[in-house]
Amino acid sequence: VKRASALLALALRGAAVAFLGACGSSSEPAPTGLDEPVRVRFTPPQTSTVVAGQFFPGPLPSATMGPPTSIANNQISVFPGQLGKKLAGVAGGGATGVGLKFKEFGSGFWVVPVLIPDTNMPGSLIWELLLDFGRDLPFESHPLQVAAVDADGHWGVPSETSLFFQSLQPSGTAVASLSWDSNADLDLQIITPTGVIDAKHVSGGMHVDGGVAPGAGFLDHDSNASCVPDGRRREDVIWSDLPTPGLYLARVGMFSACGEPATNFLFELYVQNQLQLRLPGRLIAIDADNGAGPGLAITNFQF
Amino acid sequence: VPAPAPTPPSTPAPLSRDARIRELESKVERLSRALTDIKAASPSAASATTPATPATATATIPATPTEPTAQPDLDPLRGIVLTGYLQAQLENHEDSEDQLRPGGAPLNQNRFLVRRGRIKIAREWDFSSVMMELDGSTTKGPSFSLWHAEASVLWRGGKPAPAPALVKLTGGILDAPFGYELVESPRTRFFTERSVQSRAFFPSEPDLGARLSGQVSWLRYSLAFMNGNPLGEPSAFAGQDPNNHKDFIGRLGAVVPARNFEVAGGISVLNGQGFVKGADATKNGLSWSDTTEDRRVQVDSEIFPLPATAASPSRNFRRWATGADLQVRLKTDAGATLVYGEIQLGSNMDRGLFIVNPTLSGQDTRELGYYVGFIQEVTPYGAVGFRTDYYDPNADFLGFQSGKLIAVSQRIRTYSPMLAAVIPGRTRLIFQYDFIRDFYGRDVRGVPNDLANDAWTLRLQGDL
Repeated sequence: VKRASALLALALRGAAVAFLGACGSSSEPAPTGLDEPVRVRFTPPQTSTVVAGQFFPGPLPSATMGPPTSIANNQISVFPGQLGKKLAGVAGGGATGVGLKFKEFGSGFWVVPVLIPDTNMPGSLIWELLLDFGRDLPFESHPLQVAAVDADGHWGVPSETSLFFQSLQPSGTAVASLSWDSNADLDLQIITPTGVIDAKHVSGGMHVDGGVAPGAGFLDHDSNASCVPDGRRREDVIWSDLPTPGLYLARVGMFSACGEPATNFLFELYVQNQLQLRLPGRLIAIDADNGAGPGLAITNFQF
Repeated sequence: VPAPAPTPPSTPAPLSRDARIRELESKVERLSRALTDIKAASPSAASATTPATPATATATIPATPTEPTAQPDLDPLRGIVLTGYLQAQLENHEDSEDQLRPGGAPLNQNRFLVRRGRIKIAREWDFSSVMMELDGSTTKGPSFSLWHAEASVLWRGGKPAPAPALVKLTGGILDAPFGYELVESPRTRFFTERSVQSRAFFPSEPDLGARLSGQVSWLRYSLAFMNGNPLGEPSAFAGQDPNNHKDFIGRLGAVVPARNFEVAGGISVLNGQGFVKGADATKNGLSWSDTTEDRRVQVDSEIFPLPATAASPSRNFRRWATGADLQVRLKTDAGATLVYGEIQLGSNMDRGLFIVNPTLSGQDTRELGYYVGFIQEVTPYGAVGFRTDYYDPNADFLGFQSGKLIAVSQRIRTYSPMLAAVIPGRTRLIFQYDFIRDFYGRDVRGVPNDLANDAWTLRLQGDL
């Protein structure tokens, strides 16, 4: 009986292993990579659908006699948060994919397939992809590595190109910024000694030939206007030269809640690129007034 | 001499088991009351049945009913069958992530949810029946909706309710009669969801339409004309019908019992018409494409006109499906065993997963799917099962690899072992693991490979 029980247990164990073997295979995780410094997408030929690349944790694999690749990059100057930066290149024959990673940071690398034959260089293959950058990248030059891989898993020597990340912060003598955390339509209003700067009066009414009058600021953008989300959630009033001396008042108006129950905002004031004021606040849906009300006063400041 | 009792139906009634039990309980209660009344009234009844003159007999008739069925039914709720069940579950998906999809839907699917909370009210008469079912769920946020609404006229071959109908005409919101799995109640099904292919062809079971069904001896038939836009279809037309064509769906089947053994099966067909909505007219516009990637507008090279365009018409396309299903049931001392399977072929049928649009490509999409499963009850208090299903949403799919256009499989295969603990008629605790094998990920070479998207479900079901 003991022998039969042992045989039965062995058979069951074997069946379990066989079952798991039949069901199991090496599966690939597919994280969105939204917390990575770069995300990669590509468009398969003969389609218009943009597909996300595959993310793998860890460093780009070492070169093992795989196919070479080149990089064609038209614009090295990029911005944190930029969407759809184009990058292309040519990989050697036999390549099935390319891997991409910032040399200095990021928790892993992206792989996209190499799909298109290069008619100018028979035997070579073209790869094209779109890069989306994170919003918190340091404002400096960062080398980007791309390496090709073949069907046997052999990786080629990585090629490098550098991308220089420019600041999204508008440059100016003084900048007043309002940023927020929802798709609500918020409007930054600055009451200046000479007028109001807001979405309806982007330069406070002070126009001169060729642009804004000396000492006057201007609003760079009406974000989420009419509840059309633009992903920026930020508005800046910029003074290119020394602002007109006097007392200023910063206000925030909720033109529309756009279905959001509450919106947290942050007001910041920079002078000569130095942070002078940083004030958080919150508006709720009943604060929405379609621009008819005075808005919420945030703070006074003096130039 | 009492009248002979009506012969019990040789085939099961169309209602669920619980519904039949409640119907029988209701009947027993009515008969018990009638018997009590007869016993209580027996002395006067005896005198009334031997009247001296016709005049005295006339005076005693109202006080002494001699037939139980002659007693007026004062309970308006008698005969109404109320049933329901609740499926609360914990899900875990390997591809969950603490992020949102574009548009805001959460990517995290590791959560508690009420998958189904349904209440059904039904009543059957000899020649008609009516049934309504409400469904509550938190699968896509809290919702509560009318899930089934069926009004029927029927003929039972002269037998009283709830004998099965030989002919039954039903209208309202009803399950599409295609195959076995689609019309199987989620309450009785041990596996937590239908197979992938069934969910792709029919995003939900009910649709609006009219159905002619019935059973004659071993034969089962069900023929329906339906809108063709099931309630759960992920389109703007779910529960509506944007085209005049009505989908024909039918199933012919048989049930052959033999002592502890039963074989059932059928063939199904669907002939329908899909709909692709056109586009509205557009106004003139301008488009800026930052081709130089410098965040500056180059007027000569980056501004493009978008001329106004006329509206484009909506288009219909043909879809069809055919399928066969087989179930073998065996009852032994160990418990009931069910081995079953189903295969379905379709053209332009995917309405839930890889939604087809042949008007764009000019090519029909061929789909193939099947499943095979077994369930073994282990005493009345437990069950084990295993199901594998396969779905190829496009048998002709081509894709590029290393610059070459090659045939690429999009198939999904799922292996689903299942364990259940049961309190008969009351509660089920079900654990199911789904090993999902597909080609939606890419390996490190950039070649399509299985995506890590296995899932498990722990479900607690309570029956009302």
